[in-house]
Amino acid sequence: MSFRHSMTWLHTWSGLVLGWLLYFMFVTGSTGYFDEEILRWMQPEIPLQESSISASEFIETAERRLDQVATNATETYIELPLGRSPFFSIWWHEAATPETGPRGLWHNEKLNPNTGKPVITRETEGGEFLYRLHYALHYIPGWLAYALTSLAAMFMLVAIISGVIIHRRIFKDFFSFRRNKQRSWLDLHNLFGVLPLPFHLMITYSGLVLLMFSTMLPVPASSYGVGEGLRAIYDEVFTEHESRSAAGVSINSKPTVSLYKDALKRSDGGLINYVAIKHPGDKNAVIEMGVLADEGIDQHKPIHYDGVSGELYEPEEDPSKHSSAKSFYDTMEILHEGLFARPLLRWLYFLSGLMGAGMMATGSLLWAVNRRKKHTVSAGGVRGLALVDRLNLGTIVGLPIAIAAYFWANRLLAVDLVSRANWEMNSLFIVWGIALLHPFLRWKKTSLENLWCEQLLFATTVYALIPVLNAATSEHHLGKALLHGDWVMAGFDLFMLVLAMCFAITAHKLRRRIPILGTANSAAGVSA
Amino acid sequence: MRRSPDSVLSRSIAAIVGGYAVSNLVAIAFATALPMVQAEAVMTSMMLSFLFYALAAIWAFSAKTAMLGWAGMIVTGLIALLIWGAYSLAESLV
Repeated sequence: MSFRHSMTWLHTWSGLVLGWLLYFMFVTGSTGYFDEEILRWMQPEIPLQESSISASEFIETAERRLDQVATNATETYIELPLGRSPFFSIWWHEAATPETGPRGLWHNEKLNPNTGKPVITRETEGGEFLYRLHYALHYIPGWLAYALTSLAAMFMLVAIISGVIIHRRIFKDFFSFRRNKQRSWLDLHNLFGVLPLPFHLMITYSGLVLLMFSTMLPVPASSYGVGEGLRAIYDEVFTEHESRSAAGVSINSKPTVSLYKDALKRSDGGLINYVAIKHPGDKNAVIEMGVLADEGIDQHKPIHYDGVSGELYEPEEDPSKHSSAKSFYDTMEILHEGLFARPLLRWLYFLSGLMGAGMMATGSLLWAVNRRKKHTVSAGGVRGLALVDRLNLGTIVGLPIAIAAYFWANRLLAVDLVSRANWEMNSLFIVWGIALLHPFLRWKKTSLENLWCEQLLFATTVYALIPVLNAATSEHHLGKALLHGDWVMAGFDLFMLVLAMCFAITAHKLRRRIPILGTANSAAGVSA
Repeated sequence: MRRSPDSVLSRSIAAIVGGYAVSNLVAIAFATALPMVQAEAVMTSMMLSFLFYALAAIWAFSAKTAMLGWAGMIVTGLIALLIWGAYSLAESLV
């Protein structure tokens, strides 16, 4: 067997084995690029900001609130509703005591942007939950999830390399799309795989690197030992040591608003998106202003001031935190998470992620279609084909339905339900379980095409009705959001409609009996 | 294209389990041998380990026979062990 043949074999089987898990990782990981936007939709109690309030007014309002609640804080943090973040919130940290635990405790309040009063929001994990799913999964311990997702990523890395070897004519193939022919799944698979190939390679490799302290444990353990030793290398590489600790002498801090105006001048046209104070009210207080500026991957450094004199202050940098290996690691993290991405690039990240999901879905479909084509003559068919067919449907369409269920649960579960956030998450898996069972239960009764149509039409319905659900359960209906230029709310609803349309178009194609699932020869049972 | 089930199982285990072991051993050898500060050498080797793993997996499936795939991994692993041992010994002597 030639090298290319064995690579084709490896690509086919390694892709099938972990294809569904990778599809899951691509879909849930992609939602992570809009985690804040999803959270905002899932907390409709937060009102729309009705008049334009200047950032200085926000800071003064937030400080008044902090004076009331954060009297013993060791650190305070004001997040301004600017840029991507639609939230106006305050955070404060209480020092470690027997009650607050060894690391102290962070408190968070979301403020009403019109009144400065705290808003009580429903209990939800928002987009963070969907994002966390793509590496930590759910219901299983972290180490096991990391091992599984890293193994899938490793398969993906091997599949990319072997995929490039299979496609010697990769760029020629890339420009051929044979519509309505048996090869169109293959062409689509190539398109989703090759067009964002740099993204796939980057996201796979950086994903592996981000979990390497769990998955490649023997390497650091060989030099540092386990337990305490591992903490030593982690500290050595990652922990930023505070350059100034509290003096224990109380003194009034400099008013932040005047420093805010100064920072705005120094930010090269950027916006100040947060104001943090370390050791507030102490002689050694440091005020930090976060700068949101267009600088590509290099994030603008925050501007620091001495909290008492208001002079600029440069914290000492620890050179060991800037070794080339650490810089490379940081770059991988920033690239993976798209931390720097402005709206256009963020959408590209999101779409590249969805193309990855499309690549996995078309790959799994292709596996089934090819085997059906080869074995239409023999009545028994291929072993495992029926199983793959059913799991393909329950995963490719079932997962999006399950995610819709998460959004529905967010609005339908009682606001005061005990462990409400957990029930939102359970809803996703309960509905997914049903979607996975559906093709098994109805397998004998109808054709594969019909089963696909049933799930696709269901997906169309649940996504198309999300804007209606939003209008019925909050004051942020699409009309109002569009009128007020509330693009986070409107964008969410509009994207749900786009998704509904995609499902509808696919269902429509299946209804017209285009043999896209390769069942043309066994179409006797098809009734549309 | 035919493959005996034994060979496929053997190659898969070689790729997944053998690949993991060998990539860790090679990375450990790199971590001790790279002329860098220890933490940096360890970080660099960990980040390289995934490339070793991918190469090992491809080797497992492209070798002429499954046994040859295993043999390649065992030899590489032994060489890595030797390098690790030699550097550790040299360090403890200094």
